Amino acid sequence: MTNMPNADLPDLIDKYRRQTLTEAEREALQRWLNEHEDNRTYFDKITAPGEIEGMVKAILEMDRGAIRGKLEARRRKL
Amino acid sequence: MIIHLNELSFEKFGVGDEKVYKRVCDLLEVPLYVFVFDYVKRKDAAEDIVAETLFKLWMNRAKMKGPLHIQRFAYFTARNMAIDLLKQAAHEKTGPAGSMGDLGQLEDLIDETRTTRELEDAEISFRLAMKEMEALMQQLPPKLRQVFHLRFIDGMNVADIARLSGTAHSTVYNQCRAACEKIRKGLEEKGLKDFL
Repeated sequence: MTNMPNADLPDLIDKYRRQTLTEAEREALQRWLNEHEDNRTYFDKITAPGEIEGMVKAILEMDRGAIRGKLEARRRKL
Repeated sequence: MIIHLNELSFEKFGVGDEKVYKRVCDLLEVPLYVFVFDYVKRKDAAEDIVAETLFKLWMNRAKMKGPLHIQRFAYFTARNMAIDLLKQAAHEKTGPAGSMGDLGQLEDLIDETRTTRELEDAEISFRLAMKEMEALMQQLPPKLRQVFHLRFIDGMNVADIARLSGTAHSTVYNQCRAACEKIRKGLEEKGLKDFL
């Protein structure tokens, strides 16, 4: 699917969003995009306006206490 | 691989060490929630699925073969439950005798060949969300920034942050709330700018 280590991709995409890519990084990102149509599909989805902000909003609004409560209720039934 | 997950004592997890299990939950619950929420788009349903996934992880702890296996198990389990929920909702919408056309897209989701790719994408998306959070965090006052980092970037729970910082649970809880509120406002302002 990709020859690029996944650890590099978030950096490259993040820099793309902030318009801070170097020329070498831009080329690396372009190579990855050209490798497979799924890469382009994913890239277009994740860089769409509001996509990442929506994830951040979801994280901020999640109720970790509720998750732990539900988890502990299940474990108590054992 | 989720940051810090490979630093845990895997042997202790396998034999049911509570502290290690809680740390695994701390590290997995946010990325899992983001992953599941993207499918189900409902806070309560996403929370239910994450809780059930972490419970299944506890039940299957002795079968786990390593940190990556734990992560994969959790994502696959959560994904399957999310798909089951969507299927159920589609059946309720169309009725048992209704057209199965609405389920067509769901069949695509079950395509196993796409699953690995999807999990890789989910991990990249989560890291991007974390990077965005780190950027937004810079607007916070130092104390709130520190608490927010420990809670959301390092995945620590309130009790551990309170112990580390020598403050009351309620103080940490209120600081987390204040930090979230400021970041949420920052997001709203950013969103408005994007659409102007």
